[in-house]
Amino acid sequence: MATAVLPIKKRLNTIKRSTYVCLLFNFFSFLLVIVSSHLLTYVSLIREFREALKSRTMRRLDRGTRLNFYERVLTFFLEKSMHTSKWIKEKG
Amino acid sequence: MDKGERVVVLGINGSGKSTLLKILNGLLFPERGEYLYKGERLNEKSLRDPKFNLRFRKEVVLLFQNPEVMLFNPTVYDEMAFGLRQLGLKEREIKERVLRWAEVFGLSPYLEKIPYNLSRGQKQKLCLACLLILEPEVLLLDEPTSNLDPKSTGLLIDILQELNLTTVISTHNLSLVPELGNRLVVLGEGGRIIYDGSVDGFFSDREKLIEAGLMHKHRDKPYYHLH
Repeated sequence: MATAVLPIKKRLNTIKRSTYVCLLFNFFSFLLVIVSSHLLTYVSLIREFREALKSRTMRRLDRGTRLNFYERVLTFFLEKSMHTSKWIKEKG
Repeated sequence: MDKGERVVVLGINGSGKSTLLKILNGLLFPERGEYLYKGERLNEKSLRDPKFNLRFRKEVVLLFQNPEVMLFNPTVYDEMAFGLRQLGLKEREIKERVLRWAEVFGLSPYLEKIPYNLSRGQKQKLCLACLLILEPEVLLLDEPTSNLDPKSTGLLIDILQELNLTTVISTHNLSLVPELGNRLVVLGEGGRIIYDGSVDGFFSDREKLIEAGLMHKHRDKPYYHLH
């Protein structure tokens, strides 16, 4: 009797484990896609920021101007991240 | 390109319009061929020369498609004065020029405001003001009307016609092409030039419109707005 039950339990455990693994895999691949797409967007935006600064720079910039630029880039990305997370929350 | 020429660059997404403008502004460099500005070869080496860089960046200016990336100064006034301060102008002249151009673009009430809190259309106008205040010789505009309402678009067209600068404008808006320029360059896939000539000549050539992806073969009118 016991020998007949064990394989079913084992099989159920295997199915459970496989389901968890599958869900975890889907979750992490979803995360990976989101993170990598955001990274690509951010990289291209940083490149645009740098190009725009280069385009407007005629002389060597002073420290204050450079700080303004980095501050702006940082706030832009923080705002963008907040906006994106709000959007994801709203869309569920 | 000749002095005073107004060129409109048309093409589907990914055809290389923005890349072309960045090459003309010395931000990217072509893998083949060369770019001569007033007879001088433009490359990374020539732009490392402070004198040439100063002259080139003052004379050839680019309006980016996304105005957000161009603004980083604490106030609208500082943003407009940024280029002028680099040119070493006196603060009195800077103020006079800033006030004049702010008036032209309706930005006078916002001079003490933070630039990135303005609306998208106002940001676009501010960026344009920051460039025109330098009194450039060549104006490169990457889809300048994409964030503007009809009134501001009209203002931009009036300013461009009045200033009579050498301009290269990329646009998606076919209906504005005759007003924006007198020469049309159409880019196809992979950045290939499929038309270079008069504006009227292109719009009456059905085959070219279809080839450029600006008209479907089953339609009898081009897509006036590609967005």
